[in-house]
Amino acid sequence: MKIFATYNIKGGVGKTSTAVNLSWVSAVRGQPTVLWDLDPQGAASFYYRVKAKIKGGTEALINQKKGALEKVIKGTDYPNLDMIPADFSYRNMDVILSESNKPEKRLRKMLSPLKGQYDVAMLDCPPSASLLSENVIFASDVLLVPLIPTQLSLRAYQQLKRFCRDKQLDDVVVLPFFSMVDRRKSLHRDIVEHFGEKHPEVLKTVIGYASVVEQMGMHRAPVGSFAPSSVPARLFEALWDEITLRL
Amino acid sequence: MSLKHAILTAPGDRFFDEIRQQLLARLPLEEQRTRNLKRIWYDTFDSRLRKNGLIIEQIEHGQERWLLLRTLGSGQLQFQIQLQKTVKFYDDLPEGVFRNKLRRLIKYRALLPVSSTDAHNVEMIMSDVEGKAIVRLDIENVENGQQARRASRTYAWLRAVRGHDKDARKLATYLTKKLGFKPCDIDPALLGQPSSQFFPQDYSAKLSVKLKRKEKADVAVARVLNKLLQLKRVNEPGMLKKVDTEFLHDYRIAIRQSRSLLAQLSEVYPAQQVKRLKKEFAWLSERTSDLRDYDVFLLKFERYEKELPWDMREHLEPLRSYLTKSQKLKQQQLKRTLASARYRRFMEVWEGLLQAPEQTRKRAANSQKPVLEVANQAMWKVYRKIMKQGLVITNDSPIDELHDLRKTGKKLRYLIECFGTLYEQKYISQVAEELTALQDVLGNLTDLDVQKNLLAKWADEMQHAHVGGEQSQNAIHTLEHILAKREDKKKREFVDCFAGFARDENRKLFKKLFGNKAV
Repeated sequence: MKIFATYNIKGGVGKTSTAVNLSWVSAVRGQPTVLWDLDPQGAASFYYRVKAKIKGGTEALINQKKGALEKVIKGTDYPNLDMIPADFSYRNMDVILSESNKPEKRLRKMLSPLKGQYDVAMLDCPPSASLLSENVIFASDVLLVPLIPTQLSLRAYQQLKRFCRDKQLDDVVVLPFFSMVDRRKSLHRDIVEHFGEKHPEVLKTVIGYASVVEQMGMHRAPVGSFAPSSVPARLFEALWDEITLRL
Repeated sequence: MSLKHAILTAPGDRFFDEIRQQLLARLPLEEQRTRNLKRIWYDTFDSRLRKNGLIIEQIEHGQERWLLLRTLGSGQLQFQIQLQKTVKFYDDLPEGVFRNKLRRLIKYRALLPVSSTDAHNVEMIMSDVEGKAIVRLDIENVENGQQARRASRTYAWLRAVRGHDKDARKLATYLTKKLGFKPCDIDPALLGQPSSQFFPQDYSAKLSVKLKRKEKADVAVARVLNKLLQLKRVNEPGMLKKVDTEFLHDYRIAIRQSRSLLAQLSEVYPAQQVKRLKKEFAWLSERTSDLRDYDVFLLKFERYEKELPWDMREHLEPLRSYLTKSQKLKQQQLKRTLASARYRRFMEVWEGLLQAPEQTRKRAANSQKPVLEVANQAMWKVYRKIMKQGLVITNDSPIDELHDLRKTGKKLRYLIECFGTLYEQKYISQVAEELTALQDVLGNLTDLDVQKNLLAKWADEMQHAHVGGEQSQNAIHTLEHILAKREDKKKREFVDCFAGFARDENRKLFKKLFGNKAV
């Protein structure tokens, strides 16, 4: 099982839409996939129509023995795609994690029983640089970092790289890619064009800003399921192909 | 009743449409789609999936095809994939957990169609307040298959969506208590229209002939040989069609066991007939040996490829092509062998021996002795030979001595497989376990030597035939050296392993079982 996380210290960069759409693509390609909505806002759970509630809340999930995660998994409307829903109590996850044994490795341990059941685990993370972030990075094989081509977003990427270095989280593969790109803006065009010169790790697929992605909230479904021939649907497929090729 | 996944049958007096209307009217179910579909069920020749309580199910609807691994009886889904191509072997599936699971279950065996059914299907779902499916229910009218002769049958396939077991249980209770549905006694996969392909019931390559200790040796051995003859026959069609490599493997085992049995049991059958048969068995072993070598190497080709540095791997490809071509030629040769007059005559002689009147067989000195006595003698003799051969082997002994020991070990293993039922289970199992541990070490070691020598031979043949270039020759010889190194390392493990086999406790056990009168 490969563990992916969509992560950025900055918010509003397209982490959830990436996690929702890539997990769908992975499932459609025949890989049993589980998406864990770690954001207390529960947007990914909302998109998949899964009630953002976990029995016993974060405390029960973190502190229970092996197998606690398996009990809260919910099937979605799509074959090969399951979900670990969000819970509002995830906002306290840092505190609860800090009280557990080997706090920075807790998530990885919790995910280990899922290895024989799924090919892909996708973690959708809230924006922060916290103990939860450390857990996510430690648990993940691949960090997918959506970047809006603005200075603030690029600064957040530098902060992330520094965070990984400081915490000695060097094993994870970090794959940044541009998201919510508006080609009409020259700033966006310039950054997309030149970023790769200093950051060859950046993925070539660029996800443009599109209203069809916003419609996910209305349909409560991934783009590929309600607009399969739309540009974003095809781009998310291309992004997944590029990621798997890169690995 | 507490079912979250179930295959239920509707009461016989209810029509399909009536059930459908009733369900939609009384329950919060929503009809998703109505379609005609075909279910085809697959298993291996030796029913490996059924023996594990599982089945592969292919659902076809127009161009749409899904492959499912599910439990027999309850229909619980383990894995599913939408198919682009036909899956015959585990490695036809994309890499992932489904493929890994199937590999563990079926290994090198092919998936063969067991049965199929055409059905009229209505897909229904029950949703929660968020509008997400929590239970899936398929109502299905089976239009043909074995059941059609009795009456058309309606099934309900109930599947809880993960995390919603309680809702599925409630629906199951309603279906059974209010609507008269019953859990299926027999899975539809076992009731469908049988596949036209030859498919034996309960095939197992294991010998399971229950012998009696006082049974006359010729009668008992004839029963074992008859079973081996059956095993040989049942594997012939699959072997000739090259369905998978295990048909040839099982066929060869039956041949070798028969040959070994005749060789180890002296004077149970007339010497002249035995001599002729042994010669013919040897001929058949020889005629199938190259083909088996190709099969074994090609099955593990990817593994061998990974042994090489990555930039050398592509240069092993000409070897794969060469072996595949040679494999085809040998397969043709095998077909000719089995169609030959010599093979026909051999079969007549073999069958003749097994069906010969008692008077003819009585001429052999040991034919009328109790089978236990004859088996004891043979096993004790082979065991002593193992000890004699094994104890003189050191780290510096030539590999041929280990090959010889492995062959002797195989003889004992075949005898245990043939006559195991004569002994108390716990003792014979212990003996078999000890022998298996020894044979595993010997097998790993001598297989490396065999593969290494084959590589050298094939590299030579390829060079003469101008197949592949210098880089190809380099890749093959590099692999040869890698295997040789590993062989050296493994060889050093042998002496300790044999010391374990030869320990006093084991000697006493073997003596107790075969040396004196049987336990």
